Amino acid sequence: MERQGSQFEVSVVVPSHERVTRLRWLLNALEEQTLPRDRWELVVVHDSTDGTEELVTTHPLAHAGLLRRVRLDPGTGSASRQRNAGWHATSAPLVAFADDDIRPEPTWLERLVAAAREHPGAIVQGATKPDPYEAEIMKWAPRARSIDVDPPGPHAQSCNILYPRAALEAVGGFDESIRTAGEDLDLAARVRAKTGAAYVGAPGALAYHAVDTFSLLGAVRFNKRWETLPLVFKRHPELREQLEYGVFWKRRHAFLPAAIAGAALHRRDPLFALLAVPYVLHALPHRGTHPMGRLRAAAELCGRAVVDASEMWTMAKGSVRHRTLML
Amino acid sequence: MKAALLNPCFFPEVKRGSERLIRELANGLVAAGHEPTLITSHPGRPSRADEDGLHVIRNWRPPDEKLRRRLYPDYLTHVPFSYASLRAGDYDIANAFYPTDALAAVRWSERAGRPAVFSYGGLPDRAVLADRRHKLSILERAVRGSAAVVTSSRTAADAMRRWLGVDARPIYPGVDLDAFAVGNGRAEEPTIFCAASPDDSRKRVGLLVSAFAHVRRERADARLVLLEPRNSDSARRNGLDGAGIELIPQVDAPSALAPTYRRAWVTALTAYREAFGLVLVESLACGTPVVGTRDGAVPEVVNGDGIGRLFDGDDERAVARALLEGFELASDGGTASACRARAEDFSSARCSREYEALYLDLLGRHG
Repeated sequence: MERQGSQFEVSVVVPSHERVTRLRWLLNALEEQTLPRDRWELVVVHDSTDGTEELVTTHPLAHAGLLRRVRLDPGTGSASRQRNAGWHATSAPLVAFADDDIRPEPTWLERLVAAAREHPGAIVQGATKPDPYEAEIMKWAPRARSIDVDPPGPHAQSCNILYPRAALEAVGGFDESIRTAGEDLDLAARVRAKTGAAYVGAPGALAYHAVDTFSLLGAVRFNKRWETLPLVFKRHPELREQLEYGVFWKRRHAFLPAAIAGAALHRRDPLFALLAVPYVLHALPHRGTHPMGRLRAAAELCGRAVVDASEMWTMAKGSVRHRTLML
Repeated sequence: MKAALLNPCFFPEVKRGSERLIRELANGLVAAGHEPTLITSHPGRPSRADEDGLHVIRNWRPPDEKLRRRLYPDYLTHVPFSYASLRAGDYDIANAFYPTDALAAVRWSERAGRPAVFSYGGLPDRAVLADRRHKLSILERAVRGSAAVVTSSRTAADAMRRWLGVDARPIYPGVDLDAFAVGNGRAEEPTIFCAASPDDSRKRVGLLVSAFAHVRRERADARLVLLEPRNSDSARRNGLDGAGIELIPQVDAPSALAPTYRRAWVTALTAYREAFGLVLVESLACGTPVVGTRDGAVPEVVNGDGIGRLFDGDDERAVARALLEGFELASDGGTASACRARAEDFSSARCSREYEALYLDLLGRHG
């Protein structure tokens, strides 16, 4: 497995953009890794102006000679470009990608590498859970977002995943034309198609993901990033089995048009309101049985419908742009 | 120098460590010829008052229960009023003692071109920095927008560097050495006092109660004096009805506890993640040795075997051993003066002087 010329077993690559404190917490967590430090290296690739450069040059991992950084022109990066720059700047035969808003457990890297040894040549995805320190927010805040992956997950998220370097070289790494979303799923699909690599999970390689909350407007804006997803599903039709009825990104999306129609038509005949029932059953948040809780859930349901509609609108635009159908 | 001090609440509504710190800091600033103003809030009508030389502006604090339920940080609703008060005054410097108040101070600093200081009273840690919505972004704005960040100890300053990347200046909170003085009144039976609230799980009063049972096996006449919990669940959970345990009412004025410190042979603080440990210093000032957790900033206060004992982890036997050694220490004739000498390192006057020096330093830089 050792690659000639590399002194390390695994390279950890972290893309970062304007998230200096979260990146600091990731580096602090990497400081505590149980995998001996002579077996791994770390590269942070950033295009930030928020103090990240100072962090990556002064953090104890940098002083220990373990952390190197690649600096891109401010605002010119994307997750794909930064990850590519990162793995190109390293030499180990295994490349672990970690996002700047995760907090790995101390045994994360050791277990990821152990799984890679057990399955030579495979893509290995670790487990990702919403950070328990932010669990209350995840549970109670409307429009809270995190990542929850029981590996191997269908979307091959790159927040916590390991690739053999040979596999990355075989396909040229991430497709940098996919700037905002789906680049990880695309890479995994291309690697599997071209090299026949297995895709396995390492549940013990656990990392916790930050929880973000959004205003309604913020959530709608955030959804614009999904416009590249239809392209990925167009390129890899075999992935469509992940979609509801081969078209809808989420089950709620399949029920939303009927719900909107029901809301519009219920004045003509109240029975039309029944069209909204499947969506309500799938989308209604649980806020307890207290009347105030139910009222709050109903209010959040409206916001959720707006966010779902904006997601579908984004998918529709992406579908037109990439001449495929995904909603 | 006209200094604005900002805190969400104040006497008589709340009397925690930060309110005491502000009161004593204000005393020191007034004594040094400065003009401190406290900008605070309460649920009632806006008011202005002069309280022993401290000008106090109390703005209305709109109800924030709904925001708390939605996982937003505490004390957000009064911030616009605090900012308006800052803008309306002609202050040279603003010192916020709470992160949400720092939002007002930082914005004022940016507009007025005068320095803002942020005093962080806790021990920064990953577990607590992002446990509420927007808490992290508020903290980031507070620490990056302030000309100086103050912590309660070197340990807290190190944690501030590790978790938020900010170089903070440690200034220990002060203790009123006149109110907490050495004197007579030590109990005949070996007595342990704990001034921490049993309602706060971080204080681990239950661990102390468990350790006390082991102490009683060695010293059957030992007594444990605790503050009455405000929550009856705390009493049941911590087993506060055990033999030898005495509950005393919580007091409004901490100096009212001085006789209890003097009565005790040992004061115990089993809390973890303490940013300073004010109650330990109050005990030392009364000449009573202390037992504390080797965690947080407690080892900074208890820096020698002559004034107390430290224990590791959460082993009740280790706590009991430390308490029994504390009894022996209390029997040593030189212990009281050693404790008092250590407490004098943490006087209110020293704390005020250090804050004043910081303000003047920042004003010199800005001037």
